[in-house]
Amino acid sequence: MEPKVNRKKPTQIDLKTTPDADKSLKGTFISVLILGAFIILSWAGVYFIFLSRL
Amino acid sequence: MHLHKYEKWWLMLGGGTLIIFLSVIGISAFAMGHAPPSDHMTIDPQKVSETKPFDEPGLKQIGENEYELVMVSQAFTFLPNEVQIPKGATVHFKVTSKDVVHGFAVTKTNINMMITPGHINSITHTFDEEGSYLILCNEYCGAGHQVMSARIEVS
Amino acid sequence: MLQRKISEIVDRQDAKLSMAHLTVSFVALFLGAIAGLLQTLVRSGTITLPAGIGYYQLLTAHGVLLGLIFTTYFIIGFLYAGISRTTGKLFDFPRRAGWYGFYLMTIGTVLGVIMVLLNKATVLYTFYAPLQASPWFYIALTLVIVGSWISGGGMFRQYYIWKKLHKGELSPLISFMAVMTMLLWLIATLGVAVSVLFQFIPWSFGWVDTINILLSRTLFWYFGHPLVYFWLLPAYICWYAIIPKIIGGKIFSDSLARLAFVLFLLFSIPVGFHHQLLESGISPFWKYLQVVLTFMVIIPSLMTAFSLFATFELSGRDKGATGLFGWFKKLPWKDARFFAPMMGMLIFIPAGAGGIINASNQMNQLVHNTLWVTGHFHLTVASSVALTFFGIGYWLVPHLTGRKLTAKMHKLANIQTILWVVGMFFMSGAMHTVGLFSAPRRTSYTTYNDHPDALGWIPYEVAMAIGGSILFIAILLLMYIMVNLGLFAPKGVEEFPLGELAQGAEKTPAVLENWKLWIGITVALILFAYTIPIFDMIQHAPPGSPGFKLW
Repeated sequence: MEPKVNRKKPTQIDLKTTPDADKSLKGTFISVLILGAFIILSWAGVYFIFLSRL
Repeated sequence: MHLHKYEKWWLMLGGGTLIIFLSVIGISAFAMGHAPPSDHMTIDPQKVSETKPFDEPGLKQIGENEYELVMVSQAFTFLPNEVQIPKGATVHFKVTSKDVVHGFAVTKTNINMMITPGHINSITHTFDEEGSYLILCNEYCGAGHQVMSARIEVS
Repeated sequence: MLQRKISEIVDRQDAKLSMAHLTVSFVALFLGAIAGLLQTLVRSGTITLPAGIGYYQLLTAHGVLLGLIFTTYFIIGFLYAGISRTTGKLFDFPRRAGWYGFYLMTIGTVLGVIMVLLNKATVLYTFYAPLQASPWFYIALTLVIVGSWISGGGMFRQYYIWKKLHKGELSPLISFMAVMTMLLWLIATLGVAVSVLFQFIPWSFGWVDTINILLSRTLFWYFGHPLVYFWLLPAYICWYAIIPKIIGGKIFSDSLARLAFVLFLLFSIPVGFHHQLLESGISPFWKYLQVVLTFMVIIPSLMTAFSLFATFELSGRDKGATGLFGWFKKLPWKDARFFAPMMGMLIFIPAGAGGIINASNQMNQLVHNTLWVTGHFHLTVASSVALTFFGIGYWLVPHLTGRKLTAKMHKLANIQTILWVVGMFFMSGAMHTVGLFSAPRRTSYTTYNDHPDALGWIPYEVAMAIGGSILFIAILLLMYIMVNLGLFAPKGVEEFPLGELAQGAEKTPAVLENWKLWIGITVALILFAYTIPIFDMIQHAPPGSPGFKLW
């Protein structure tokens, strides 16, 4: 259920160039991305069932 | 109000995903004819058995392997109670209620609609697979709600 | 400027008011849970109820006691405590309003429960016409709602006086959120109040013969969806404003927290059609429009997810966490005040995903009125919200009664949370799955004359009963903990945790407290989403329906 460290780190994130450099929120960002992926997969799964029963 | 860079990205990604979801269901509903059942016809709920076509509920062929199935729901049965249709038939369901609110769902299909007294609801489905389909009332309608069902046999 | 001295301990008299609410809330929870356990056992064919008790009677009791009574009492008790803690001892009017509201709600609750027990109101908590309960059932619900308005009025008044005394200052976060929650409740309940007063009561007394079904359902769902946000917002208060303190961190952003609450007010009301997507008499256009508005209300929850993870990560990094997810281990997992709400937050991820599916227009055909939906709201209200409320109770009850949350109770509370999560995994998981196979919700044990499709549901229904039994054990444990904390735990001072802002945090824009603006936009959105369809429902109404008593 909980995000594990088994995801690839996105390479495009460069903290040093931002005004938020003092606050590293990388873990937060990855966490919400996992959450988003879960939403997309569930939704697509049910939509696929809907199509299969048309 | 200050937003962290990642939060901006997250909200754009999230918002974008929601827009995609809405576009998919919007196009499917309005361009491909998959809008949810929303019939606008009304009927006097106390005169259902005298009102056409519900005075003679049943299956009527209206084209090549195309049928209209008129059904009346009432506590705690559907009329007709068993229907035989050939494989591949397209069926236009037309349902109303004589008493309280009922549900109308058919297993293994997307058929699922509310039957509110005073209103007619309709949906179309093509039965491509043989088998026994269960029609069931899925809205609480009283003490016998759990027995309210009918069958469609596709062969 | 006149500054009120704010004690860190809720005033004793205010504490009594809150405790009265919490007590009724937990009694309702216990009774509702008994009904819930019996339902899962009946549904799976494990037991048959002794003659005289009906499955649907239990279901009505379960829905009313848990959906309406447990939640509303807990919320009002918690919000009053939060307001007293953050704006200081309640003024005379707010406290009296709280008690008047409490008594009125309690009269209504007792009357309603009697009607359900007498089997005169087996219409479920949604009370869809034309099933017709005794008029006293509708009057009972009216008393509960009017009582809650009076309590809400008390909170508005306290906030208003505080603002007068602190001109130009930003209100404390919890008091702002409490006012927002009660405002949402007030606007939402107007719909059901209109329906009960002008449709159900005259019709059930026989003063009028028939009722407009579609209109009554629309007014119900105008209320029915914001109702779920009324449950959720107090949990969000805990997540945003209390949890940061418990984990030793800071509130991520005061402005974003307030903005989320503003968005909930705006978008949680004009969305009721997503409960009526499969009904005749509402055009696909207006349904889709409200689906779009429903999706807008997802945004503040996406914001919340980010804010909460950020709070966790920042506090973990302050404590020396390294790596991408090192902060996750720094969270106080053994602290019951954190663990229960945290499980609630994590469960909100599948709960939210399911909600998006439910609201997706024609995809609703797959799940509408199936057990999927029951599984869904047992994740939202019965897990995310309930676990958070339990987590609040663990410190709020001893705080209000002058006792301490002991190490032993921490441990028991954590076991409670684990039991809840495991029980819900079985019950809600089975419900979600079997719902996709069309198994209907709100239906007693049935095999539909041994139809193969229905026989296939039975293993899932057994899993539901196993889950339900585990949940009931968890409720017994919870009752033990709450009674201990309220009556027997050692005397002392239990902290009311109050999240703080980081030093040098950005100033919150005053516009977020511009109530006229937000109420104005809310009303405009409601009128936009509802005026034309409701006009159509009245204009093109079929002859109405007489009442039926079919139970």
